[in-house]
Amino acid sequence: MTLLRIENLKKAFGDIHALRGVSLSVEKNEIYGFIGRNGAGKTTTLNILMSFLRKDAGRIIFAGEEIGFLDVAYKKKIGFVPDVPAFPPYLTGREVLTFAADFLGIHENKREKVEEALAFSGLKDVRQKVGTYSRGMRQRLSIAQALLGDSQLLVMDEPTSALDPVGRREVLDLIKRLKEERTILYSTHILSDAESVADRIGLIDKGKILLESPMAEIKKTKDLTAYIVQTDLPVEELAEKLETEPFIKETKAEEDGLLCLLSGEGAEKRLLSRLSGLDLTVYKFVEKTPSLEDAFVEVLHENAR
Amino acid sequence: MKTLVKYDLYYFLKTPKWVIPLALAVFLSALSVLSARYMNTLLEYVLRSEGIEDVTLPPVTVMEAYRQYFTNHFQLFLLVALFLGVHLFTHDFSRHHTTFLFAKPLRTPHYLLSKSLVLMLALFVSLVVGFVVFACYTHFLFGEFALLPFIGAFFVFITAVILYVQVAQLLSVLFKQFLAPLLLTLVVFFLFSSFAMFDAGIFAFLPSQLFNIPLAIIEGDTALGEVLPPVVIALVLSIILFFASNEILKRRPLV
Repeated sequence: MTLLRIENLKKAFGDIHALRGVSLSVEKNEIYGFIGRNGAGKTTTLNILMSFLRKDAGRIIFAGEEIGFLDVAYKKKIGFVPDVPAFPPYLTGREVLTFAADFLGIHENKREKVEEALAFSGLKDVRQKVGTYSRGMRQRLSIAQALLGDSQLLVMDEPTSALDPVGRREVLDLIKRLKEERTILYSTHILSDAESVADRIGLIDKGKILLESPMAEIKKTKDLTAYIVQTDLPVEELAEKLETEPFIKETKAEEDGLLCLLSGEGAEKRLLSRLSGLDLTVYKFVEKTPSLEDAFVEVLHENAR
Repeated sequence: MKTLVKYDLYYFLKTPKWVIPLALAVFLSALSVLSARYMNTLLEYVLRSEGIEDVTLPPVTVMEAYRQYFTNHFQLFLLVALFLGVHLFTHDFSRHHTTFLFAKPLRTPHYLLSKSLVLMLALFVSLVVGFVVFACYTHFLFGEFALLPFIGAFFVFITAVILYVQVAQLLSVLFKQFLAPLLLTLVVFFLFSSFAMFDAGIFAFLPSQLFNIPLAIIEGDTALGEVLPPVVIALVLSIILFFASNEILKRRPLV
């Protein structure tokens, strides 16, 4: 069942067309990875979705109903996690959540729900004011306040981008724990994060959706294979010799050799035959699962052509 | 709305900002009476110590205390109120609390009204405390206090505060950062203050007369027909400014 559908969303800032007809749909109880480069249009889309910004054209349909600007009933059903959350520094985490519960009109079992959210985010025993929180703690608090009120959809705008590795891991763990329970629209430019949590991916670039596909299918769709090749030649030299081949989409130096991203039928055989034609000794020729990043680069290349 | 008021009250009560208008109101109230009562005595003492004996200063009257009170409040209290107001109206935007607030089901008029109400409440409570201090000191040092005229004059001053708070709110919503709205509100304030010297023709109806009316009320030098137009126009203007602020807030990005 589709929970959120965005249709032909357009937004321009003067002469700059930030969104050129974005359409996507988020199914119930899935984590939708909304990926793209910085400036691709992710935050503008989410800002319009949250009514922080007016759209120029297009429709937002949530649970079958079209949503207007600053729709109060709709906002009760969604939670928002920004990239760098900011709360009044003179409040404690508990006070922030109590305010959030009050804003959402939660009266029944308010205290229990606040405590539950604090426990979920690992902030139950933290008594200090938010001003003294680390970025990771603030982000966890942000997730906790977005979860209050049993929101049907969590909108997360690059929630890990400003965090150190420890904070990032903590936040990703929280998101993984929410899997199956909530629908999440998760925007990020960190592809490995999206890869680790998302069920489906929407790739946006220059204000347009280039690809929307289940995570498991995305690499297949792009007909991508990757091989690690190790020879007696230095990787840079090997890369130079292989880069001109049309079936090799990209090469990248890795710790254990040269990663060759291949596309097209029989590409691996063609690579082997090319290697045998070169005057070198092959030590390693191992298939590697292509990453989301590989697929992402391939889609961008395709689109640029 | 109730939660928004609580949220804004926390801003005042959990930070030391509530002390500023209160301390200033008490200080200005006490200073107005003391300086009115003892300024001539002090001047005479200074002049005599300089060897000038034949100086006769006019006798001090209670009117001087009222004059000092309203001059000090229009010049200093109102300025500090504008400073606090612009800070209150812009801090959610400049510190990015809006992503937390406007992700929740809030209505923009409630958001703005709450800020105005809380600021006015903080200023009003401070002014009332200052009022009591002023009344007590005046009664003690001059042996009299014109309670009813002073209450009338006090509410005319409150009308001026309401108007400037709305000017500050409109400019804050427009610029969403601290310095530009503060400077522009001060420009509006000084413009209106300079109009106060004109009281003929259309100027008699303008809110700039709010600067002159309080003293005229206490002196018994004005009729209700002269007081009402600037007060009503100021209040109507405040309401228009409030709705204009709301329209601007809805039309511009909320983050």
